[in-house]
Amino acid sequence: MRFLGLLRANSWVLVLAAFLLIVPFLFPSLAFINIVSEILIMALFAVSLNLLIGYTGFVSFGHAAFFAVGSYTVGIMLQRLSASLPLAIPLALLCGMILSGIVALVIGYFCTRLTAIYFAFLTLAFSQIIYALIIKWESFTGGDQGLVGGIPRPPINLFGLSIDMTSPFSLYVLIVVAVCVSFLIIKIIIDSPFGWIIRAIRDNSERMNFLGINVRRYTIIVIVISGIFTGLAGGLIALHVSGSYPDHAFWTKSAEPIFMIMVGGMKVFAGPILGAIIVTELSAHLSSYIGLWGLIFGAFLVVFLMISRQGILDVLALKTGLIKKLKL
Amino acid sequence: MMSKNKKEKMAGKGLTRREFLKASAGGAAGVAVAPYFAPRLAYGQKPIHVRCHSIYGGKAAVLGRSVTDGVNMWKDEVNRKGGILGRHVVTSFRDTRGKTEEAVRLAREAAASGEVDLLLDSCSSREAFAVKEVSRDLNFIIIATNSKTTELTANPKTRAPYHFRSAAQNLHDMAAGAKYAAGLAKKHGWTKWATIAPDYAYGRENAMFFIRFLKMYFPEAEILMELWPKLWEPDFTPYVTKMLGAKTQAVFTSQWGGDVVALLQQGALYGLHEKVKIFSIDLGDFTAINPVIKAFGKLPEGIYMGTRANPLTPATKLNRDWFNGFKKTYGYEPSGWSQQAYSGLLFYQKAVEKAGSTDQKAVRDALAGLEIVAPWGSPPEQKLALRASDHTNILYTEAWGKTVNKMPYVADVLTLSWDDIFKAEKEYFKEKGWV
Amino acid sequence: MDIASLLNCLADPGCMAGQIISGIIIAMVLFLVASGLSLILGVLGLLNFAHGSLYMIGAYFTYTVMASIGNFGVALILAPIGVGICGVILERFFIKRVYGLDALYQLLMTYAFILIFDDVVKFIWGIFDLSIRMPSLFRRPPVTAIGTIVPFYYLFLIVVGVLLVVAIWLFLSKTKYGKIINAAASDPEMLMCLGINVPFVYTIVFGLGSLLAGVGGALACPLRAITPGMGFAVIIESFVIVVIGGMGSILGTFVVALMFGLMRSFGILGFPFFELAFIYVFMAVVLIVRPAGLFGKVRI
Repeated sequence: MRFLGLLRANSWVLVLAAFLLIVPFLFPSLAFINIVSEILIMALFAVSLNLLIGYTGFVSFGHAAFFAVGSYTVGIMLQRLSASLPLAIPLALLCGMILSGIVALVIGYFCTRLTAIYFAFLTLAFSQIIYALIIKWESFTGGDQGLVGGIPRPPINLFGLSIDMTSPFSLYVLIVVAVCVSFLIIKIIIDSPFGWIIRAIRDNSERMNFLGINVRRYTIIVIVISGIFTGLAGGLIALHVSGSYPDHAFWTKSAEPIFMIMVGGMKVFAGPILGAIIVTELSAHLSSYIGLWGLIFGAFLVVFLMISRQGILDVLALKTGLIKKLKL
Repeated sequence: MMSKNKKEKMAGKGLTRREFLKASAGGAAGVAVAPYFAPRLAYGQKPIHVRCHSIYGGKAAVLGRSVTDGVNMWKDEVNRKGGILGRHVVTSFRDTRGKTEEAVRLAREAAASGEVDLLLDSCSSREAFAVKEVSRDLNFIIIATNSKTTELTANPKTRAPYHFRSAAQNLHDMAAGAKYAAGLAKKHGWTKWATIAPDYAYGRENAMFFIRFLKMYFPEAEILMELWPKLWEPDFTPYVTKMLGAKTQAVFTSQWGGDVVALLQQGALYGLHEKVKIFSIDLGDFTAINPVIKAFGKLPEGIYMGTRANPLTPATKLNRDWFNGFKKTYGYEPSGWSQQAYSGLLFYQKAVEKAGSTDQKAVRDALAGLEIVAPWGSPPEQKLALRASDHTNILYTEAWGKTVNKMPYVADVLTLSWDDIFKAEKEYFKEKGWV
Repeated sequence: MDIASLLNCLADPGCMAGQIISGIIIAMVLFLVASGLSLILGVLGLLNFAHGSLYMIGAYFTYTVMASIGNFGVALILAPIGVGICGVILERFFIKRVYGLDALYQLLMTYAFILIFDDVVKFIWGIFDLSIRMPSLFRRPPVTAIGTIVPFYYLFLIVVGVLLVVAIWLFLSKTKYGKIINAAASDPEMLMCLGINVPFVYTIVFGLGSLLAGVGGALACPLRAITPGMGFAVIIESFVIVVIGGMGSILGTFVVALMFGLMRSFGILGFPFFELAFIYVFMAVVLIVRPAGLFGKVRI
């Protein structure tokens, strides 16, 4: 009953999922599911990171580490596991999440000893260590080339049903379901008492310490949750692009979700989602202006920052009650 | 239809007003999503649409430019002659910025749009493997024009039926290069060798092949060291001092673009090219020759280099005319990248003519095993072929020579025989179990 | 792993001297870029990801001066000043808006300028790789010492690097202006009360930092191809050095740059495959054990 109540409270996620699942069946378009898949994956990345940045107040420059761990775990497992395993894809995704969670625990343990900019630099250092490992451990990761030869997508056998995963549409359905369920879980976490405690840590961590809250432990838990879902996003990107690449661990990959969070808004749950839509769409449209992407995208970021110091949904949330009403 | 042509032509060169307006509205969700549902245009004489993906920013920006002009040159020539099967050719370009995901997304978009007939993947080897998976997923013809990594097409386990390569290949380049180097080394007694190659797939693979074939042709050769600076390494000095410290007699390098320039610049301070024989596969490209000349005031003589996109390789009228035509039209010398993109398009053109349509399956069948005449095909017939078994380009001119400080900057050109290359290749394939 | 070749080299004074020199050379150019970054980070608390781009612009300016005037000495003065002016303009119009804000805003603003500068140089100087000749003054046979040879230009680089570190240190610790800058780093409000125009001090510091990046770019010119995106290759390494050395500590930056250079030049000999990860492991360890950096003042 309580679960239904939570669902009803976050019904917009269900509406979003339903909309995304129905559209391609009414108007089949590979190009559409292609861009939506990418937006959803990046949105999950950004939403997970925002748990840390927007809700707990810690800036991570190294989230690409978890993204890459998820991506490489899924890629390597699916390339080496026997295809006859009935649940190879869900299993690989799960392992990716667990492994990212473990890596997040280790990184979080050390990083939470520091504050502010030192925290950010330490996350950067860790993610670059992972990057260096991927590049140099060629026999396992494929080195600079990444995992080549495609990532097989064996069918998912469930309750006697066999779902063929090789078709782009079934992969799309998997991505939509995985991402929307994750949104729901993260949203529920944010609305829970735990969510209010981490917000309080963001607003005044010293006071929380006085109140007997172990700030460091809470922060580590947030990093682990964030790492787990970032790992899922990484696993999904490996399936989506059919490969894992060192780019997934490079520091610029950590910057991408940060841009999305800042453009969309960091105090509203759906902010990073809107940011992911805007940044990915803009980026996609700009690819036809050859050699001008950096200039236009850079100018967009600068102009955005000059006009507003807050993300779009943050501004709207201040001005209208609509966002609160919709429980975005 | 003419206006569409014109617009597409402009799109290749920069912003058109239409596209600018489209981008301005890009923020609005409705407008943003609309292109993905655009109805497929269907009219009788629809132009043939070639899409080209390359890298236009950062250190590899030079790559995008040379490829784009190679494509433009072909398009203008074809359209001047009335197109293919009476249909005009239009081209469009996309910037992948060297990012794999971007390359994959754009490739999917092109394949799914229903408007693009051929996709040229003109990025680096990194993207090539990922883009190949798109070809496999969607059964769409993609020609890789830049990736020289042998693994891309040679491994039978990962072959994709609609994927082709018009680029040269490391295995072939090195079988030829090592034969050339071994001949000189034998004659002069250069037994102490080093390799210095960029630390990514391309460099790793060709250094491996070079060592393998050098030892095959010249067993006395001893490899003192293998050096792996990362791609875009700014500091080559410690590598230079390490080589000189070990009394290296000859070095093979596959640094390219700005990297080979920096290697020679920093090496010159220690007299590297006077003390050590340098065998550079990529110095022969004009994108490297020109900055080296600026850095030294002249081209240092006596360096051995692989040469491609050069009026002397091969020294035929066809090749000379192509080279000079390119230079005259675009104001700079073509690079190997321009050449390989152009090859890919010649193959496609012939395949469409042979198939009588642009139907993907028909063109694919025509492409496999296709032979064409191209300016850099091996003389005297100047033939190039897309081998049916592994969809890769063969029979292009494999030539090495010595640098001289006079256009076209190479002398004593030796063209290597494809019989030897095939022999070396067969042995390697046998060992890998790829036959 | 190639420990044997590392040991062999350590046993041979010629080889060892050779690798030491090349390590120092890597350090010098890196130091010039990182010192500006350190100054900006230490005094303004600003994460300037665009710093590498300023180094690139320094190289392009040097190319232009060399192409029009042809005198490297003039280029060495004009190019850094040009970059300094670019820095001042950048700071006045854009960067100053993100002072004191969260690191996120600084990342967003300065990263945007990496993208912008990389495209702008393509429009001005074209996309082809450029290069300049080694200045004629340095086109002479290298000096031989301790069984190795030292190129003349490298001697010059080392002298410039050492002179600059001494000069910056003297300027910051002994002159009135240096003291104002130090005060601006630790207590800008107090400084404001004393009637000093703090925003102006900030602009000057940013300009000086940019100027140092420009010096790095100019000195690197005879050794490297000048290309769009060349700044991107040095920015993360510079940050690593600044963080390990201690933000704002010029001496720390210098020492760590030297360590970094030597680690590179000997790492190439002995353990080429661990070299890439090693520096980040080192950075992580330093941050965990001593967050303010090896030479930094603890100021958390």
